[in-house]
Amino acid sequence: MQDFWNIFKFEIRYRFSRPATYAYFGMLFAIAFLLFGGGFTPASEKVYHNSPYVIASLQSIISIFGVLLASAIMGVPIYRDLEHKTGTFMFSYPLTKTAYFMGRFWGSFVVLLFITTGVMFGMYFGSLIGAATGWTEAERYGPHVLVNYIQPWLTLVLPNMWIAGTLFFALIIFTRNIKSIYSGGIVLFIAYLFSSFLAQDIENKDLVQLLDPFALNTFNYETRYLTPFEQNTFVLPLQGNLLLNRVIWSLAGLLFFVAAYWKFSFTYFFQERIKGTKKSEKEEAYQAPSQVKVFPDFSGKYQWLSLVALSKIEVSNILKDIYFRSILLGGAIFLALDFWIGNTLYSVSNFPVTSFLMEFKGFDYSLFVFIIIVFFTGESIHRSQSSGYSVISDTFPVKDSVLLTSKFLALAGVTLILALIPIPIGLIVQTIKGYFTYELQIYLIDSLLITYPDYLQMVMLVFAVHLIFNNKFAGHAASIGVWVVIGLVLDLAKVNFTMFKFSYKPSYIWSDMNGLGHLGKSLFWFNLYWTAFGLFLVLFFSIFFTRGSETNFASRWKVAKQRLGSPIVKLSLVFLFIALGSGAFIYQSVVYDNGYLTIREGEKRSADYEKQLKHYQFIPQPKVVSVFLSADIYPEERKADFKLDLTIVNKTDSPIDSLHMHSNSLSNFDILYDGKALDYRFPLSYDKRKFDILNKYEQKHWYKILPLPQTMQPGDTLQIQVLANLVNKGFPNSGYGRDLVHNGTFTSAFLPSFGYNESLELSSDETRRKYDLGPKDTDLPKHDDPFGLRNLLFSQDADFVSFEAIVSTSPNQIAVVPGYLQKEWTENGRRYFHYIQDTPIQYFFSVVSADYEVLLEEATLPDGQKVAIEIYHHQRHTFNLDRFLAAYKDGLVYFSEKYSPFQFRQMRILEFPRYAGFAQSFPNTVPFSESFGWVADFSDPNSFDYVYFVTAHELAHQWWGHQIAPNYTRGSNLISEALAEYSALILTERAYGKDNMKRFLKDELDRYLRGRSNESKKENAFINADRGYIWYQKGALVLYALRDYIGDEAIDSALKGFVGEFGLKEHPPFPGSSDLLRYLTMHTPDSMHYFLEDTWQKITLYENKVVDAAAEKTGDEEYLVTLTVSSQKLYADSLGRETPAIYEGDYLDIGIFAKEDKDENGRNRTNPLYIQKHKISPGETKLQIKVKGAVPVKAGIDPYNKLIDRIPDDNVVNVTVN
Amino acid sequence: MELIIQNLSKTYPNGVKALNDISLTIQQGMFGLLGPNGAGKSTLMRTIATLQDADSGSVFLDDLDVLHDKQKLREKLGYLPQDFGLYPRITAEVMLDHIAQMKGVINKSERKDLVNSLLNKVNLFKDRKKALGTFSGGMRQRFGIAQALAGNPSLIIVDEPTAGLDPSERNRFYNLLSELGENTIVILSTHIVEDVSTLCSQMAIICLGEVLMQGKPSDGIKELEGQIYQKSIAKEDLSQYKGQFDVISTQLKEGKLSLRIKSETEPGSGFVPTVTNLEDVYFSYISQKVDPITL
Repeated sequence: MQDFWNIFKFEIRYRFSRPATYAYFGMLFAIAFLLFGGGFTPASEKVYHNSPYVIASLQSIISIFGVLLASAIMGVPIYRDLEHKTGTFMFSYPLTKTAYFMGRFWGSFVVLLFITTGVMFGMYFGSLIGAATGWTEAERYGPHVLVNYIQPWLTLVLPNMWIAGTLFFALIIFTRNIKSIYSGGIVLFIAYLFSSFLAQDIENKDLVQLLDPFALNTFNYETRYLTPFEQNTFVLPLQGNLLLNRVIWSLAGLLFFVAAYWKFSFTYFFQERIKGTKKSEKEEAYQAPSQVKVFPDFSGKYQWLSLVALSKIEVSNILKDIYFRSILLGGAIFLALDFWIGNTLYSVSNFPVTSFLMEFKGFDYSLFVFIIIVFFTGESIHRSQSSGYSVISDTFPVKDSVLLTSKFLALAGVTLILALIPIPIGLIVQTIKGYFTYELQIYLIDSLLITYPDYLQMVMLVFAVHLIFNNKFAGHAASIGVWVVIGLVLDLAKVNFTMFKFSYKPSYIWSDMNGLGHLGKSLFWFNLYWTAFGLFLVLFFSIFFTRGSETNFASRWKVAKQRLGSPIVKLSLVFLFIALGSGAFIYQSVVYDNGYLTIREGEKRSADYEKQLKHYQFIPQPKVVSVFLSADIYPEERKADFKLDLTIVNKTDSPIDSLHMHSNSLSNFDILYDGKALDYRFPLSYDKRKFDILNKYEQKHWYKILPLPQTMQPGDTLQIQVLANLVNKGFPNSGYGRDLVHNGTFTSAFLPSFGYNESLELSSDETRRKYDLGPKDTDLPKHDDPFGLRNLLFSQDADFVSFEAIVSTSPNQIAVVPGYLQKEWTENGRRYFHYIQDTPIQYFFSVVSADYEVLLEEATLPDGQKVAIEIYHHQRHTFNLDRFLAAYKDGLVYFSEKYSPFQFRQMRILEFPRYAGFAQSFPNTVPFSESFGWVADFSDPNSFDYVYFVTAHELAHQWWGHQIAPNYTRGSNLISEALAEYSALILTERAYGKDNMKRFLKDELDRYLRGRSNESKKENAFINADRGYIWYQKGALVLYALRDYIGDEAIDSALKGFVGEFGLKEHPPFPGSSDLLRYLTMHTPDSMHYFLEDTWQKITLYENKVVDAAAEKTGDEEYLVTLTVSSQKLYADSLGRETPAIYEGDYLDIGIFAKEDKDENGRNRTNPLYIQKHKISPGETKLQIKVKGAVPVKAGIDPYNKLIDRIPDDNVVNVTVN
Repeated sequence: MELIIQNLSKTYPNGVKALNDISLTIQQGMFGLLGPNGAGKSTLMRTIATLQDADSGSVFLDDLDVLHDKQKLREKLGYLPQDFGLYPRITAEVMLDHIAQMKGVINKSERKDLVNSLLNKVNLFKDRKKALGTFSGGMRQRFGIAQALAGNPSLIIVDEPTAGLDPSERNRFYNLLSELGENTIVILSTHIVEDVSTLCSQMAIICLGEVLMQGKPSDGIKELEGQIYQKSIAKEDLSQYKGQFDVISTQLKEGKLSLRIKSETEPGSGFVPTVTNLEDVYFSYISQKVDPITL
C-alpha cells in the first residue's frame, strides 16, 4: 500500500513540476475566461451567459478537446519508463505490479481531472470580471450557482475523461508504442466528428444518444428545445438516456482498465525485444566497378541541381510521414462524403453539379489542409535540426538561399497536390452518381487559380513564423496563435476588414448561370496583395535562417543584421512594394468606391439615424398611385439606369409641404418636378469614417428632404419623376453584389421610399443599450390601430398602383417585370420589352434579366379561362421543370376552385443565380433561386418534393399576399405566409399523399421549437406572429391541425369567405390576422373553439405520450388493444415558462396501425387500423379498442404529431401482442 | 597542404571558455586531437567545419580563410560529427546518393558507383535498401563514416568516430582511414588513446580549452622515457602517496589499486619502472590541469 502511495505521489509531483500541466490548465482557463468574459457564448439575448445551459454546453464541448488532452496525459506515464529505460529498474525493485500500475494511473488521472477544472474557473472568473469591468453588460450575467458548474462536470466531463483516459492507458500498454497515442488521439477525434456528422440522419435518436461515448449528442438532443427561461434555470438531470449512456460507457472504460491491468506485467512491458532477423533473400553480391574516381564539380549547375535534390528529398520526407498520410486520408474521406451528400434541403440532395461541388471543398477538407500546412511547414523547416541531421547538412557547400528555397518549393509541391486532390475525387463522385457534365475548366480554375494561391499564402505566413522561432514547438504555438488571432479573435472583436486578415478574400461562389462572374476581380486583386505580402514576409524573415550550431538568439540576431543588406532583402522590398501598391488599389475600391464601414460604425449610424430622424416617423407623406418605369440594364458593366414617373396623392388629412425620400441601395437618385430637379436637404450628420484616411469620402445622400414648390393639400395629386441609377465600381469588403450581374440580374432596389423607415433601426436590445437607446418593441400596431388598418404591410408608400414599364437589356438576354408583354424590339444594339399590368397591384416590383430558355405551357381554370405558364430557366437546368409545371397547373386549378378565381392571365417563374437562396412572389412573377431546387435530385420516391411545395407556396401567395393584401398591424403577415404555407401543404398532400407530409411536418415542428429556444426578445402568440418560426412553421402546424378537426370543407369555406370580403380590396380598412381568425371561428363548431383559443391566443404545448400498449387476439384477425396514454396541456409565457393548463379534456387522435409497407410508387405507406378523436383528460387514461384486419404493430396518441409537443417521438410505441 | 590555427578563442554566452588562445599546425596525414570530455575538442571541430564562429583568431587551410570563406571550405570538407541524426524514412542508398550529390558529385552513374563502393567499404551494402530509422547505433555510425568520405574531401574531420563500434568494426574503421589518399588532412578528435596510437602520425593534447602538447606520439613517449613508475597500493594509502609523489593515473588491477607516477629520479618506496605508453603521456599532461584520480 505504501508503494502505491509513493508512486501515486511521485506521479503527481512529477506532473506538477512540468510546465505542460500548467500550460494545459491555463489554456482551458483562458479559453473559458475569454468566452464568458467577452460574452461570446451562443446564449440569445434573454439567456444569461453563465446560465446552467451555457455552462454545461461549454463543458461538454471542451471535454471533447479533453480527449486530446487525455491522450497526452494518460498515454505517457508508463511509456515514460519505457522510453527513458527507467523501466528496467522496475525488475529489481520489490514493487508489485498493482502498486506501480495503480500509482501511475491514478496519479495521472487526478492530474487530468485537475486540468479540466480550468474550464470551471475560467467561466466563473470570466463572468465576474466581464461584468465588473463592463466588458460585457452586467445584466447578461445571472446568479452564480455552484451546482451549475459542478453538476455538468460530474455528469459530462468526469466520465468522458475516465473513458478516454482508460482507453489511452490501455492503448499504450497493448501497443508499447507512443505513436499509437499521438495518432490514436487524432483518429479518435476525427472519428468522433465523423460519426456525429453521420448521426444527424439517423431516425433512431435513442440509439444515437446511447452510442455517443462522450454524450455530446445526448446532451444536445435533450436540450435542443429549451426556451430562454428554461436555459436560465435548467440543469440536465442524470436520468433516462443520459444516465444509461454514462453507465454504458463508464463500464466500457472499466473494461479497458481491467484489460490493461490484466495484460500488464513488468516482463511483458519493459523487456527488450529481440528483433527477429528476417531471413535474408538471395543477396546481391557487390560488384566493384573498375574505377571509382570522383571529381566533385561545384560550378554553375551545382546550386541548381542541389536545389532540385533538396526539394525532392523534402517532398519525400513529407509524403512518407504517417501523420501526413493519415490526416490527408481523413480529409479525403470527409471530402468524398461532402461531395456525395453536399447541401441538402428538406433532406434532398442536389445533382453533383460542378459549380455546386466547389463549395463543399470548404466544409471540412480545407480544415484538414490547414492542419497539414501549419504542422508540416514547421516540421519541414526544423527537420534538419530536429532529426540531428543539420550537423552534417549544414556543412554542405550549398548556399543558404538554396536550402531555404528547397523547403519552400517542397511545401509548394505538396500543397499543389493538396489543391488538386479534390479533382479526381469530384470526378469519381460525379461519375458514380451518373452525372457526366464534368466542366473541367471549373475544377481547374478553382483549384489552381483560387485555392492554390490561398494554400500558398498560408504556407508563407507559417514559414515566416518558423524562420523567426528556432524552437519547433514555439513555432507551432506561434503559428497557431497567429491563425487564432486572424480567424477568431478579430471576428470576436468585430473586426471584419478583409485587408487585415492575412490570406482572406471576399467570399465567392460559383453559379451555373453566372460562372465566377464579377467575383473574379476581387479574387485576383486580393490574391496579388496577399501573395506579394507573403513573399515579402518569407524573403525578409529569411535573415533569421539558422545555419550551424550556434542557435542562441544573440548570434542569430547578429547574423540577421549582417544579412540586412543582401539582395534577398532587397527583393523582399520589391514584393512589399507590390503588396502596398495592390493594397492601395483595394483600399480605394473597398473604402472609397464601396463605402466600407466597420461593424461598430454601422451600428452607430443606425443609432444616429434613429436619434436624428425618428421624429419624422409619422409625418404625412403622399402615396403612389401609378408607376411608369423605364429601366436600362447593362449587365456586362453591372450598371442600371432607372426613370420612374410617379403619380402621388396626399391620402392624409394634413397638408404636405416636403417630400421625405430615401433609398440606401440606389447609387444616386434625383427627384424632378416639372422637368426640374428639386432642391433637397440631407438631414443626417455622421462621424467621420474611421477608414477615410485621405479625408475625401463623399457621403451618399440617401435620405433627402425635398421642399415642394406648392404644398399638397389633402386629396391633391402630383406628378414627379425619379431619376436614379445603380452603379457598381470595384468591389466591396464583402458581399456578392447580387443585384446586377453579368447573367442573372434580379433587383428590386430601384424604388425609393417615403418617410422614416422603422426597419432601419437597431433591433438588438443589447446593442441599443450601448448607444443609449431604450429597448425596441418589435410589435407592429395593435389590430384596431387606425394607422395600421389603412396602411399595407408590404409597403406604406402606396396602397394599390397601376404599373407599366419599358425595360432594355443586352440583346442576348430577356428582361422581365410584372405585367403582360406588349411588344419586344431591338434598337441601337439593345433589346427592349414593354410590359403593362392592367390591374392594380401592390407597390413592389422586381426587374429580372438573364439569358434564358423559356418553357411555355398553359393551364385552364374551372371557369374556362386560360392561364399562360412561362418558366424562364438556365439552359442546362431541365431536371425538374415538370415539378414546377405540375405545381402551377395543379395549384391554379385547385386554388381557383376553392378560394377565388386567379386574378391574372399568366404565371411565371424566373431562375436567378444562387447568390441568395430564396423564392419570392411578385404579381404573376416568381423569381426562384438556382439553389432552391432547379438541380435537386428527386430519384428517391420518398423524398419530399420541395420544388412542388415551394412553387405551390409562391403560387398561393398570389392569393395570400396579392389578392389579400395584409395591413400594417401585428400578426398580419400570417395571412400571407401561414396561409401560403398551408395551401402549399394541402396541394402537396393531394399529389403525394398524407404519409409523404409526415417528415415535413416533423421538420416544421422541430424548426418551430428550435426557433423559440433562440428567441432574443419574446415569443408572441400566433395571432401576433412576428417571427418566421411562428408565421411559417407554427402556422403550418396550427392550420393543418385545425383542418383535421373541422374538415376540408369548413376551412375552405372560411378561406373563400375571407377572400370574398377582402380580396383585391383597394381601399382601407385592409385585412389583418384577427379578420382571418374571425372567418375561421365562424366555421368552427363551438366545441372546438377552445382549440382556436389555445392555438391563436396562447402558446400551447402538449406533453402526450403512450405509457403502455398491449393487444390480445380475440378472433380471426381480430384484436383487443389496451392502450394507456398520458396527456397534459401546458401554456407557456413569452419567455418559455410553462404552467400546466386546467381543463376537462381535449380532442386528440388515438391511432392503431398495422405494418408499414410501400405503395405502387415505391413510397412508404402507413396503414391505420383505427384513427379517431377521443376526448382525453389530463393525466393518464386507459382505453380499450377493437381492431380487425391485420396485426396491430404500433399505437399512439396524436400519432401524426399534429399538435405541438416537445417530445414527439414518445407519442407512438410498439404494441406487445399476447 | 597545411591547416594553420592561430590564437583561436571562443567563449559561450553562459561564460564557458571553450577555446583559449589555441594555436595548432596540422600537416597532411592523420592528426589525433586527444582530450577529456569538455576539453573543447568538439568546439574546435565545429569551428573548423564551418558550423560555428570564433570570437578571435584565425584558421587557414593553405590560403583559404576558413572562418570567412565558409562555402569554399565546405567544398573540400568531409565531416563526421559526434552526435548526428538522419532522415528516418529515407533508405541508406537514397540518402547517401543525395549527400553525394550535395557534395558535388553531379554525374548520376558516377554517383551510383561511389555510393555502392562506400556502402560496401563500411559493410552496409546489404542494408542499403533499408530505411535509416531502422538502423542500429553501430550501423548509423558506419553510415556517418561513409557520408564523411563521399566526394573525395581533402579535409576530413572525425569527432569521436569509434564510439558505439564493436572491436571488429573499430578495426575495419582503422583500415578504412589508413587507405585514405595522400593529399588529405584527417583530424581525429577522440578521448580514446588507442585510436591515436594506432593511426596518428601527429597529435595534440587539449584540455580546458588549451593546447598542452603538440607533436609526434613517438616524441611524446620518448620525452617521458624512463620517468614512469608503477606500484600496487591499498586504497586507504592513496592520499598519502598523492602528497608525496606526482601521481598521473590510478587503475584497479585485480582488485588492487595500481598507481602510476612520474618521477625524474628513482622514487623508491617499492615503485617499479614501467614502459612508457601514450596513455602515460596523456595523463601526465592532463594531470597538470585536472585531477586524474578516479576514486
